[in-house]
Amino acid sequence: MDERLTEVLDSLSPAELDGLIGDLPLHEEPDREALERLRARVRGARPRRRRGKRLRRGLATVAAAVLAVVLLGNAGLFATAAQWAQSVLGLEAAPIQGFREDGTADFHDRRVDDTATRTLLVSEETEGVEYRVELSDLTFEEPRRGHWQTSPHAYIYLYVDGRTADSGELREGQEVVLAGGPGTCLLVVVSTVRAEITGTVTRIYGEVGP
Amino acid sequence: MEDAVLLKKLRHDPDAGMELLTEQYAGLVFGVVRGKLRTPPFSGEDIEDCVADVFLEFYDGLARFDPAKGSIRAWLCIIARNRAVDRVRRRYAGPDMVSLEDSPLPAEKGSPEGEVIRREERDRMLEELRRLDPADREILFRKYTLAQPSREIAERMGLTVSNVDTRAHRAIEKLRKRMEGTDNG
Repeated sequence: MDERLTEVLDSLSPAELDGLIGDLPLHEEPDREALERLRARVRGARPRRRRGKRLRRGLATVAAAVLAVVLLGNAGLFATAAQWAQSVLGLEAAPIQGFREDGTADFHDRRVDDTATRTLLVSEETEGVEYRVELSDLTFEEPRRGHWQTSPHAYIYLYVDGRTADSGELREGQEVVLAGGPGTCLLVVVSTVRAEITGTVTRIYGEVGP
Repeated sequence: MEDAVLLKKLRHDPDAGMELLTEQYAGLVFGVVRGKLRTPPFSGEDIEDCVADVFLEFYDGLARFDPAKGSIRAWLCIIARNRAVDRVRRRYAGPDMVSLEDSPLPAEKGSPEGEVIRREERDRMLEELRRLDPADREILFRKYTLAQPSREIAERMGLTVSNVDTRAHRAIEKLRKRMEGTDNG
């Protein structure tokens, strides 16, 4: 039970943590010397980070403008350019809340590990259907410098009754079609890198569960 | 100080805002980080490094901070937990990356159904935790997230050590029974 409890407490989102401790007077008095050292470090680091941030933003803006020019005349690609710019500029999608009535869903995993998975329950006892999963706003956000030792990839698997029925690679703005069923269908997202992955399943064809 | 006031200060006068933010939350952030990095090979310096990273990350993400998704306190706790866990992983995981070919696929790690069940159990346990008496919730949070010993919890909460131990034990038992469906209280 101890281990399970630690696991649950370690998995909480900010909103869930507020629900659990929001009403508790959890003020901890800091060690004054440690606090002063912390403040000195934060004061020293902030201007450097601001300069780096401005440079990155500037480069991103230039790159977005170049790409927009390249894509002019091809209206079909404007969405992709917008998504690309969104990912470069670091916009985030909402956390996963399960599938909506129209069959769309968001997923947002702050810490997708090498083999960590995000499971999306698509349907229970669905008849044979084809799922088309299109992810917009797919973002591989570098969690820390020095972590990119391989190019980031993410794959999506369709499981039917616990077995892999189909899979595909997730690429920004591209559609993945997965086919399988009947049975209990699940979509699982796997990443090859430890990174923040954000995406929105914009369309799923077929019968979609809760 | 309320979040809205603190946010306004951070945006308009970052230096003063960070002073207030650290004054109000450094103790808790130190607690969360220490809870994860309390044993060797991690040192006090590692803990201070990590805490500084937490506040800088929060500051860097200020433009995207959405109070509707959680309070400043909760966000700082979550960032602190994640950054501390990063350090533990980096220390023990060896190479950061493995290729997909070399890594076990989800099917080998457990069935998707199993994951869904675990997720449901987790949500149930969270619900049961919320139903506990506030003092019991505080004891469990201090014990399991801040890794504070009973003596420290007793000092913070104005209880005796035996009272802390008894309450923690009873709360865990209550949780266990409720999860097993043998306690509906």
